[in-house]
Amino acid sequence: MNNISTQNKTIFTKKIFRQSNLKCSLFCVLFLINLISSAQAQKGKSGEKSISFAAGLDLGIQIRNEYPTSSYNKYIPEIVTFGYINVLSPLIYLRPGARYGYGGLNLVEMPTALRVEEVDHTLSGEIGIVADGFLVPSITAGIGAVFRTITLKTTAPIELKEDKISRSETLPYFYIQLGCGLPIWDGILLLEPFVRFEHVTGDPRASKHYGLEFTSQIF
Amino acid sequence: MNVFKPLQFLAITTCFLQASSCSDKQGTAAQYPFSANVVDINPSISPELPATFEMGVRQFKYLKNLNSLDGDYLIISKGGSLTATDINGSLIQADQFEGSEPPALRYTVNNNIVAPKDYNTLMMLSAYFQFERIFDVLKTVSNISIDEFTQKSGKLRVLYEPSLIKKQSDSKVTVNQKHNAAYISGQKQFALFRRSAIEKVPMGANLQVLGHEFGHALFEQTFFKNTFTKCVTQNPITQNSNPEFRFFPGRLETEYSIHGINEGFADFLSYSITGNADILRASIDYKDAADQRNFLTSTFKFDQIKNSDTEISGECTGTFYCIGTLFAKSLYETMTKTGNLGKDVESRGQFSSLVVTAISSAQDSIKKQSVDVFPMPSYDIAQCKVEKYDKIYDGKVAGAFLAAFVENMPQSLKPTLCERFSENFGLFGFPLAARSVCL
Repeated sequence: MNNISTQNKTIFTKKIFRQSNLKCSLFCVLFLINLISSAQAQKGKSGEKSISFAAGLDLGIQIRNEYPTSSYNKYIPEIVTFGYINVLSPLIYLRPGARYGYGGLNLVEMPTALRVEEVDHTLSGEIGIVADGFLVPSITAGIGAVFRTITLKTTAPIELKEDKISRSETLPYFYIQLGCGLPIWDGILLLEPFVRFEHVTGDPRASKHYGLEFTSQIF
Repeated sequence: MNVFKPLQFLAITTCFLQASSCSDKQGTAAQYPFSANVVDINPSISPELPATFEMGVRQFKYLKNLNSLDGDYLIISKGGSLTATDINGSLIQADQFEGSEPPALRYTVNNNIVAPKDYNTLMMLSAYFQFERIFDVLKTVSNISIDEFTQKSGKLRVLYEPSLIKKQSDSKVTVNQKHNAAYISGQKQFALFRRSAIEKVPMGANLQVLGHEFGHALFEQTFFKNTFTKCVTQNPITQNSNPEFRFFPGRLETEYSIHGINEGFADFLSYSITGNADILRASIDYKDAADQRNFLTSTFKFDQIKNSDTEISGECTGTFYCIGTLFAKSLYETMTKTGNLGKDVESRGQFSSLVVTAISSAQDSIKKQSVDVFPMPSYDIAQCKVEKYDKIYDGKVAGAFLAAFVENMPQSLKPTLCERFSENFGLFGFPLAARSVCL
């Protein structure tokens, strides 16, 4: 009986988890479709500009000034989508994009009986300028929001009597990113190491973000 | 024109995000007296049971400026670099500190209750509150009020997670100091080093640990008469025949046994404040460290103190801390055997105030002792080094301190004190020459 009940609970928890994941995925897909359709409409209007789309992943490390005299590396994987709009010359592209990042893989070192855990979901939109060639340098500016969940966790011998700390908050987020892509397979794949200078309003701990983007042309 | 639509989108979103950030309560001014969600220790039910803690809302009494964590008696600063000339357990001798910054707290305020938004803010506020608790009971446990204390010491400072650089003869080495708190001798400063996953209750928020560190500050103000003299290297061969040579500058500050007595006094003060003798277990519970430090349950004697890390049951491997545990244990046993069961801070304070008074006069008493009781310095000590524990030499120095201490305790307590010191320190740690004070 107990086993069945536990099993049901597990299935239910998984369902909820899947649902929240589903919502997130749905959001990303809708965002992507919106981006594509608006770009195609733009293409239709101008009739001249060449537009293509890419999507992919990046693996990044945010250098976080968590300790007063040193920092820790927060791993933040991201899903990224780009549109490439040819402007000015055949080699210059405007690159609007969207990103979703998850900052909850590794948490800062804390004592076991008292932890203030911060998990970040980051959504951002950006616009970049890209030069096409043997290498693909880029400069990008972006804004977005960090959706942060702060959770106070205690274990024995600390009893949690009053918790005013746990909460969710939304923090504005701005960045400038410099990258240099390496096109593979005639530019269908792009491997792009980058450095991002970040500013999270209300949280001075975030500063730099290093990462490696891997995107593939969709069409 | 269409090309710039994404830019328009970015601009509109920026405005929206900035507007939404303005509605966040971050930075709303809290009103004095400040209240905050912090870690606090529960009153001890019994000295034998492990301490328990809670996260709750507490009101500050002496904190005047929340954002700079500055108050009547204490200020907390963040970071900085501490250059140490010597590190002995939780006692640090430092000659330089630079580069600290204001705490930069991140919090929200609701109904005038400060709610930290990150671990650093929670820790700094919790540490501040724990120091306030010490200030509240200082008069009770030492007969010295915090006003009297800070008149001599000046405002106390806590360094939150500084980096520690150990100065050696020709180089500097950064020490990765974690999971520890310390008192910086002579500087009237406390250091809370970087947090670690080895800790259970963070040391910087544990009143037992901070009470212990404050004990070092009190020992400095009483036994060392508010000045921590740096050891000056001597030539023991040319000075050997002069008994006055025993009191060269910085000798007492360097002695292994005095380090131990200092630790023991700090443990006893922590017990007097909290009512719990298991000082370490709530924060650090590994190997035999917590067992050996608990002066209620430890069973080793002075001649069982080891200089190595051999882990044999019943023996103590905690170097000079072991001498301290024997001292604190003797004090506790004397208190309870003379009818004071230490049920509350007032009763414990009656006894610990006598201890503080006796320690205040102990250095003067040592200076009156003969060479038989307080020996000439060892070669290493004259060179300002404590290389290794020497049972006979360090036993004599411990005995000299114990004799001076007994001399300054009330007559009614002397027989029990002598009995307990004799039992715990034996003939090595409380030699017959030192016991003359008991006759």
